[in-house]
Formats: sequence, structure tokens, C-alpha cells
Amino acid sequence: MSGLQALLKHKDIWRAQDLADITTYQRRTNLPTGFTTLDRLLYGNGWPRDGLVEIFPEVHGCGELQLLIPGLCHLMLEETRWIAWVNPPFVPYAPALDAHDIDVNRVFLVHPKDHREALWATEKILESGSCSAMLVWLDEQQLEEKQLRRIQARAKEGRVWITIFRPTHAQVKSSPAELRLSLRLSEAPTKSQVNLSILKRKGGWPVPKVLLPLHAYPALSANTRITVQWQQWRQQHSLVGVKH
Amino acid sequence: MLWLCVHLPLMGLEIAQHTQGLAQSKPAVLVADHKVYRMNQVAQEAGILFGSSVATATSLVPELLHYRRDCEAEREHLEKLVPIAYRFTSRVALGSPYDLMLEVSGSLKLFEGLNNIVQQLKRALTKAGHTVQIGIAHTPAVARVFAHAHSAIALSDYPDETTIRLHSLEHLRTLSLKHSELKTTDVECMFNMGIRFFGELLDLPRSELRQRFSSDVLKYLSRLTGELVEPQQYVAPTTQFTSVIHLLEPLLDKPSLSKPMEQLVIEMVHWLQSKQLGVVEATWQFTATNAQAITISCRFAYPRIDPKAILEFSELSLSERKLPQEVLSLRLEATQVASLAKAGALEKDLLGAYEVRPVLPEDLLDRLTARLGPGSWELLCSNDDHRPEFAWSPVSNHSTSNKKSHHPSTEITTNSRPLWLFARPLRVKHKDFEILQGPVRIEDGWWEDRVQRDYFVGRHESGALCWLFNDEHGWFQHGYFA
Repeated sequence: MSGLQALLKHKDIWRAQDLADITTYQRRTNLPTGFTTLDRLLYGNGWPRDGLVEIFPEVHGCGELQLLIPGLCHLMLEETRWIAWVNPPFVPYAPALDAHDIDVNRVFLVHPKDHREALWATEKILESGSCSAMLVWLDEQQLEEKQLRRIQARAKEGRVWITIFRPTHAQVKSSPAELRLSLRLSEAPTKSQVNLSILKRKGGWPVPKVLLPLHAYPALSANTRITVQWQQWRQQHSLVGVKH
Repeated sequence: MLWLCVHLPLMGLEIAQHTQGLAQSKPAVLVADHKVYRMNQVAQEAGILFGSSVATATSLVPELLHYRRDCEAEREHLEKLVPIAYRFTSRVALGSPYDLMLEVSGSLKLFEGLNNIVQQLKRALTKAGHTVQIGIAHTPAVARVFAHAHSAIALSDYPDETTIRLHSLEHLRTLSLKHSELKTTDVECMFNMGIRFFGELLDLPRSELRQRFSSDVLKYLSRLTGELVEPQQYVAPTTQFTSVIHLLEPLLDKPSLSKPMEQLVIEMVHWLQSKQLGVVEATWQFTATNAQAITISCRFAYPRIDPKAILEFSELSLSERKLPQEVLSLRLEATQVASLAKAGALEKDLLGAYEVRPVLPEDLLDRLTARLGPGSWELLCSNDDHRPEFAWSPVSNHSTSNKKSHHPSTEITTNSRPLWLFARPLRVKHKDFEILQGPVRIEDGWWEDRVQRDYFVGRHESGALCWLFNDEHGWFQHGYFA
């Protein structure tokens, strides 16, 4: 009996009855994603404040950061803790983060030299309690499930929302993450929306298709005319044409 | 004047035992001129007498450890203790035979009484591994006598000068002349004359004494009473901190290094405290038996003064490095220091207590530097520059980035800049992209790296939204609207 009790207390065990316990208070405590459609589908109406989330973007530049930014903004306003980016593939562009109202003074990047260092740094940051959120890119070839399990447990202890970005082919692997999302660009012709599927979530079945208005780019405004003029000018001078 | 003399009776033994890491429970003696000069408690209980020869002592206690007295080392060690004393007063002098002299009349108010000073000083020195005897009197000479005789006078927390003078002289009269600094031949002569105590000597008329003893005796007497002021050379902590521990036996593994390392760190912290500084970069050097040495630098994100953290980060840096087989000496240097006041490292809350917080981001960053090496992390900073690659910069020093005033450029709206930037623009083929918007001309920096580009938002065949530009060299991708 005591063995069973101990097992039930284990952090990795999730029980369906936990869902029944969600009071309205708990429902509110999760982090709003900034997208009403998505909020409605997630456990606690938002991102988990502690725990592992996996995101499988189809390509770079399909809105994977824009998906997280409203949540991160919210977190930065609420807490004084920092945000860590471990092994980002490119430079998170400070002026753009500024424009999205993220306090860049509380953002830091970690550049580990190999997978082992990346795991070490991730674990230390989770333990330290000085970060509220982490964005992590790991080497898929060396990543093992037990490592993710450990990250998930540490994230719970340290109350950190940690998001790991993984390539799409890793979707089929099993994972202890409590939320797994894949991002695909929606079909032609508009391509202006992102097709998000929930592969795994707490308290619900997978959701195949949610359209999110992520793929926004600056609205064509005053300088549309300039663009047109410029295109005409290029064509006149028989330079490379611009497709439309 | 209120003089405090710190006498460390077993200093020679303590130095020898410290460097060899021996337990204090073994009988040990310090030998000077082939005679027993100092001994520890265990040796004393075994019946060894001061001044007996080493052979006699060894015959009494066969397992006796004996060390030769090293005056040079004692002097050096005393200088290392100056920073501890310097915390209590700026008037610290090295007394003639290996004692520390402190003039504390100006510090009474600050430390809320004489007893507090004595207790704190005693605690600090005991922590450094010493047996301490403190003497307090109105002149340095009397304070030294009291310290050597290990007898103290009872004084109130804020004694006035006449009380100290009266009390000290009165107490001095009852002490034996063997604690004086007179020549041994003179003392012997006085003993033969029946003069055994200071009181008896002080009562004698000076003119009579002058006829029988040298002028040194009279000079000493006037120094005791305060008629003649003893010149003191005040010392101050050195302007730079470097300290070395030479081990008598080489250490073979990293765990056993932690004790001497801790000792050096504590020494450095005493020095930092006396200077009101924090260390920003500390450099360790470990030298092996074959004179091969390795150097490890620890950098901290802000000036640090807490020994625990400094030691922890040093050990972390050390854990990543391979040490020479047999370490014979350790050296610690504070290579970069900064004022504590400016950094605000010691933030106190309203009640005056240091705040207990979770690990500070600065601590976390130091931990990362210690393990992953310098440059393993960076902070972001946006700059006021039109050129995209200059509009941000990485910062690897926490204090500077915080001070930077922060003005997000008003012209950058939410979506006009990409979230991912390429550190180096990537040459691309124009035909792979569908141009959605542009151009936006960015032209700046004619005085250094000239930038003259037309920026576009384009969609790659794969569907990714990209930030492209076209200049005289062709088409480039500079980021993703992720």
C-alpha cells in the first residue's frame, strides 16, 4: 500500500482524477497564450507555468516564436524572473523583442558547446529558480527520453515553463512533455495562417487542426505605392522581375 | 590611547601544522636553537619543559613531532593577519617580537564597546586557526606584557584614559618580570637581587637603577609608564592581493585541495573586507612537483565578497580542468577588483538583514561561466542604430547592460523586424522567394561599415517568411519572421 502511495505521489504520474480537481482558481492560473482559440483548448486555459512543452515547427520562420511571445510577455510582466534561451539556432533580434514588449534586459542566451553541456546548463537553470521560462534547442540525435523526463521533473520543481523545439520527425517518439504542438503552414493560396495541431495535451484528446493568425507580416500600407513604383522601375530596366 | 596586543603563542606550530594538515591532537614542539621553544597542549601534558633539548623531549615522548622555528614564515604569516586587524582600526602595527598591535580608542563607538572588539577579533583569529592571547593597556609595552602573561584587566566598554592608566599600572605591578622584554641577563640579575615583580622594579629610584643597569632598562621603564612614547610603524593591507600556500606534501587529488583553497579564499575575503572591495576576477595557480603550473581564472558577474560563492565557483572551474599529478603549491590572486559601494552587491532590506533570495541570475551566470567557460552566455542589448546588425549587441557583463538606458526605437513596429536574425546575412537566389512587401531602404553608417540596402519581406518556397535585402552584391536573407 505504501508503495502504491509513493508511486502515486511521483511527479511523473498523471491521474485523470487530477482533472476533476481543477477549480476555477487553478483554471485561471495558467498563462494566457494570447490566442483565444488556443486558450480554450489547453488545460488550465493557457501555457503551463511549470513543465515541459514541445513544439515541432515545420520550418524556421513559420511563426514558432510568435506563438510563444504573448505568453512570455505576460510572464515577464507578472514576475521578475528571467528568460533563458539555450542553444538558439539564430540570434533573437533584440529590437524585435523590444517591439513585442519583451524586456530584453531580462533575457539571456546560453551557447553550450555540445549536447552534454546543453543538458547541464538546462538543468542548472531549471534548478536555480531565477528563470521563469526557457526556450531550448537540443541535439535531436543525442536526445534521450530519460533526459526529457529529468527536464520535466526539474521544471516542475523549479516552476519553469520550458519549451523545447524539435524537428518534425521527432513527433513519433514518445515524450513526457505535457503539451506537444506541431506547426505547419496552411495550404496555398493564402498561407497567412499557421496550422497548429495538438499532438498531446493534458485533459483532452489530440486536436488535429487549429488555425492561428501567426504568419503575419507588416501590413501593406503607405509604402505599397513605392513598391509598385519600384517594381515598375526594375522591369523598365529589365532587371530581375518580381513575382506576384 | 588604548592599546590592544594580539599575541599568538603557538603561531609557529600552527603554521607548520597547517601546511602539513596534521591533527592537533599529536604532541608537537617548535624548536629554536636546538631547544624547545613552544609546545602544544598535548606536549605540555606529557611533561616536556620549555628550554629542554630535543633529545630530552623525544626521550619523554617518542612520537613527538618537532619543527624548526622559521622566523621568516612567522613574520610573513603575521602580515597576512593584518587585514583581519585592519577591520577594527586603521592603526595596526607589527609589534617587535611577532605580535600585532592595535590602537582602538577611535573604534569603540563604531563597534559598540571594547568588549565587542575583543570578542570579534578573538573570533576572527580563532577561525583562522590560532590560539589567541590579548592584552589591553594604555601603552604598547604594557599591552605586550599582559598578552604574553595571558592576563587581562577588567575594563568597561568605554573606559576613559585615566582609568585605563591606573588599572594597567596597578595590574602590571603584580606580574613577574619574566614577561618583560628586558634582556635575559638583566632579568636574571634582578631576580638575584630579589626583584621579581614589575612593582618592585618600578618602586626603585631611577637614578640608582641607572648606576646598576644599562640605559635600555630605564628606557623600557619609561615606555611602560608612558613617559616615553614608543614609535610605531603602522601597516596597511597591501594594495594587491596575492597569497601562496606551499604544501610540504604534494596533494594528489582535487577533493583534498578544497581545504587549502578555502584557506586562501578566506584570506582574500579578509583583505577585500578591509579594502571594501569585491573581487571580479580571481586567478588560481596550481604548481606541481615538476614546476609545471596551470592557471585558472574565475570571473564573476559582479564584485563578490562571500567566501562560499567564490569557493564554489572556483571549484566548478577547477572541475573542468585537468590538474598536474602532484600539486605542491597553490596561489590565489585577486586580478580584478571593484568597489562594493558602486556595485550595490550588498543589498540590505529595511531591517538591515541581507535578503534571502533564490539564486540570483548573476550567480547563475557565474556558475555557467565557471563550468562552460567565458563567452558561454550573453545578454541582449538593443542599440540606437539603423543598421540591423548594429541595432543589437551581445553583452557578457551584467553590470554594464543594466545601466544602459533603454529606448526602444519608436519607428520599429511590432512586425517590421524579424524575431530571428542571422548573425551573417546569407546569400540567396532571388527566384526562390515571393516578395510580399518592400522595399524599405536602410542607408546608414557612411563613416564605418556602410550599409545601403533595400529590405523586403519575402516568402520562401517552403512557406517560411523571410527578411531579405538587395544591395550592390546581390540578394541576401537576413532573418526569419518566426
